[in-house]
Amino acid sequence: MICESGGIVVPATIDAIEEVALYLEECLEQAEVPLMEATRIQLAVEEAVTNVVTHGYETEGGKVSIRCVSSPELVTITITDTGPAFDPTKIPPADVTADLDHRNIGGLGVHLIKSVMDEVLYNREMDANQLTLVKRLSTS
Amino acid sequence: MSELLDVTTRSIEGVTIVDVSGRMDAATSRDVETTLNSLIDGGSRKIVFNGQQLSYISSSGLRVILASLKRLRQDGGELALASLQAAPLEVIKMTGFDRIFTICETPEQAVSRISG
Repeated sequence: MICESGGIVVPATIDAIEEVALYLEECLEQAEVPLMEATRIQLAVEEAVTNVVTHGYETEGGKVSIRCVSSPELVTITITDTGPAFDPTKIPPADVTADLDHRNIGGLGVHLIKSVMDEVLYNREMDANQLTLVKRLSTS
Repeated sequence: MSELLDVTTRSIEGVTIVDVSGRMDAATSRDVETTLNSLIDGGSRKIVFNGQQLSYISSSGLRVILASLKRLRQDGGELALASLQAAPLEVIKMTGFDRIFTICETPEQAVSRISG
């Protein structure tokens, strides 16, 4: 089963995270993506959208569009915003070996995105930031 | 409190158990943060985070528990994690938080660990 939805557009706010989660849940369920994989993908997308909310628009009213295309073997999610140019793949990775005294949260989101997804691609086109997340699923 | 998250607290042998149910994401983690800060402000120094009903945690959730752990340890206190489901546990391991936190199979074990 394939899910090829048109996507959703939400305000670039933390409260919109739930709507994004619901949209993804429906699409991934329709594509029969196993629950554990779906949860991982949810995580990566939330981290990406949170980055847009936190580092993106300088004023209120910005929007984020999320589009999921999914089959049981391949999930491709595109996250687009029209905020200032911002490439989340360039955020320095968090030091996940640091002890408590040297631990920061900065960079953990990108670390999680890169840990979960097989491809993380950033593109700046027509004044828009476009982040594409790709996950290949094993069907064996 | 969000419908997607529920937080309750109880005590066992002087240790506060925080039972978190649902999802800890960027929106809902604020509620857990409020609860943990209230407990610490109120004098709790030994806290067990019970994740038996926690289905999901993102970096926002990790930020909250990390901040609480730092606050507690500064004062000789402790925050342990218990009964983590597979998905949150995977996130904890992916981020190396399993090297920082005490993680137990059950809240009772966690109580015993941090009381001793």
